[in-house]
Amino acid sequence: MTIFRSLGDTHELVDSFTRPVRTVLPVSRLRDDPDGEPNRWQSIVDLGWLGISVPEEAGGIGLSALEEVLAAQDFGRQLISTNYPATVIAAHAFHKAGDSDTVGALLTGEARAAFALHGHAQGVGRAIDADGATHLVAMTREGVEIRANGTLEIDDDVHWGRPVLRTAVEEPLLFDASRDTAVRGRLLIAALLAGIAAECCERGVEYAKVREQFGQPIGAFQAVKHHCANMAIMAHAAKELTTFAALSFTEGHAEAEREADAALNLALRAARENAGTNIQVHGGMGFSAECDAHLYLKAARLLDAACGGLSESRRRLMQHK
Amino acid sequence: MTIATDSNEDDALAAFRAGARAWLEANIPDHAAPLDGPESRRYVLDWQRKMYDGGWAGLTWPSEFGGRSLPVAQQIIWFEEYARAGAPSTHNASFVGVNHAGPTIIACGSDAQKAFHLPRILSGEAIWCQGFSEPGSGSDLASLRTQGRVEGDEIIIDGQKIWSSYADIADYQELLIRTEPGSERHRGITWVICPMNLPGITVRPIETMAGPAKFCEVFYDQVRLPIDQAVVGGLNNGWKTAMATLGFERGTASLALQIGLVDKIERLARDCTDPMLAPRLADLLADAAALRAMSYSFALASETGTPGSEGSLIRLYFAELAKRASDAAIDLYGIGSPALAGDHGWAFEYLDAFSETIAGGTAEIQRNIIGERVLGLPRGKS
Repeated sequence: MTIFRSLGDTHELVDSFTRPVRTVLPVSRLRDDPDGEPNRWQSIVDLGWLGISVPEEAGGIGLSALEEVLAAQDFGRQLISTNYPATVIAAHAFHKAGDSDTVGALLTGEARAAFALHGHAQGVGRAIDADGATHLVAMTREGVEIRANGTLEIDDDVHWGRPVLRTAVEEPLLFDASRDTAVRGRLLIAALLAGIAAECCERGVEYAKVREQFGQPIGAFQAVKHHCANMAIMAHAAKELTTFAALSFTEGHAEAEREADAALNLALRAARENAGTNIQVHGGMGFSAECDAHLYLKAARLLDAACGGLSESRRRLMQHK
Repeated sequence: MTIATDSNEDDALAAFRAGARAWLEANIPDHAAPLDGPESRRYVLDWQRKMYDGGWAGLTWPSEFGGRSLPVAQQIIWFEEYARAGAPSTHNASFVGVNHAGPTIIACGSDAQKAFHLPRILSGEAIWCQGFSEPGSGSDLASLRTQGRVEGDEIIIDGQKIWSSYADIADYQELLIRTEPGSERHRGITWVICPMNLPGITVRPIETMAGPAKFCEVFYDQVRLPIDQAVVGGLNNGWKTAMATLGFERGTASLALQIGLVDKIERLARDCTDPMLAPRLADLLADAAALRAMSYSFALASETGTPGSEGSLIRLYFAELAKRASDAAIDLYGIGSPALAGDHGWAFEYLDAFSETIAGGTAEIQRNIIGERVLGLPRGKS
């Protein structure tokens, strides 16, 4: 069964509230302003971006996962904080559990969630960018698990652009085993990754047009041109599939979970591949910390870790083949 | 952007799907398509005729030319059911007529050409082949040299074409020739309809690495064509005529193949029990889902306006995915397995797939096109 739906109006609607994203979240904030508040959390709260898909009665805007996924592709391009998807997922989980106070607190910025990583042992876990977060969200095989943030200290692991913190593993506050919340979360992460893939393609192409060697722009060389073509293909595939999967989910189709897993798998690959290619196209500059190229790669790997990674997405795809 | 996805189909579309499914179940040929030679001609024409009589040919073609003027949505549903039913591959001898020559004549042909050729293509009376590539003009098509000398109301053709699929069993050829003496590159080329039974035409089939002799060399020795019947889109305007249907070719024409590939990959994944192969199959499943999302979105966009430039991305994505899927199939089933055997088994699919990144523009040329026309990168110094 197939439905055919024009997204023209949806795009217009989404554009109307994501328009300030480049001003509010310039990627340079992650490079030039490391001691400031690069998450720009208050702006995200004020612009209502946390509540796009949260029902109106719970204080959100009440749109569907489709609008959220379209918006998140734009947010992903600007490397929005991983606290954003974590907080949206937490809001849905608490809403399902009937805890409207916590939903309200998350949407107004009083509470904030960060991602816990898998594989904690001996009561110590890891969390991404959890400084200032009240809750930790873990996306496990069984569902979405939420604990209080028991952050202990900043870890030695400083490689990923944002702090990875050591946390004490508190008792779970909430376990949401619903497909709805988990699939929503995967779609949201897929959309952010699709945005990263698209932005890396654009950045790489722009650079290939202006950087000259051997008397011509490097983009005139087929070896570089073909790198750019590959980025364009992956970015387009990730964008179209993520949007398709979000529509499938919004329409309540039986295949929606499978589509979401496919979208996440593709977006994970697209983001890391395009981020790597963008670094390569930038050459020596790409390897330098002064260039933004590395920020996209690191952001992609953190989202990868947050959702269980490529292997987990493959396992799920083959489960409901 | 318009996108399509599986969900609660409206009643009219659901009825259309049910009709397609029922018709296919009752009418699919009981034996597989021969891959080349006169048997393949008979098979393809019979099948095309059957679809035409059943009202399933030319769904999106204008009704005045024997089509049904239906929206792309119905075309997608038909191809989904077509793949599901295991109907004969559309990558056969009818492909050029239905998907390339026909649409070109719809776009640029004279009334007489339309009235004569279009019904014959749809109803399974005529097979078409393509005469574009030459031994010295492969990726660089605009360097073609086959000569058409204009003499009164005739064109006299001398030269050679190559890689012309099904030329040995075709009735007509869409042929690119150089009609302006001394012209270079894209100028001075004419797109003509060439009947394949004319004196002076010699066809030599070439065996492919996959087995069948489905493509051919074609030699032209003083072949005479009447200008008014043969020329489509104007003398010396052939490059433009050839480009007129590029959007179509990259939009709906490949839909059947794309949907068919998605279906095949889903079958491969279901057959996979080897944990070492599972990650590859998982990625292929995701890639297949992406191909579907991209091609539906693109086909639907082509309907409402000029198709975007992303057609070239989808075409390349398809070609490379087809190769990777058949590569995985050989690993999955293993040489000697019944799944590989036969005219349409995976061994044939695997070997035949090597043409996907060569025919109609190599993957390298496609990447140049994406880089230059989609992304706006500069051309290299030559």
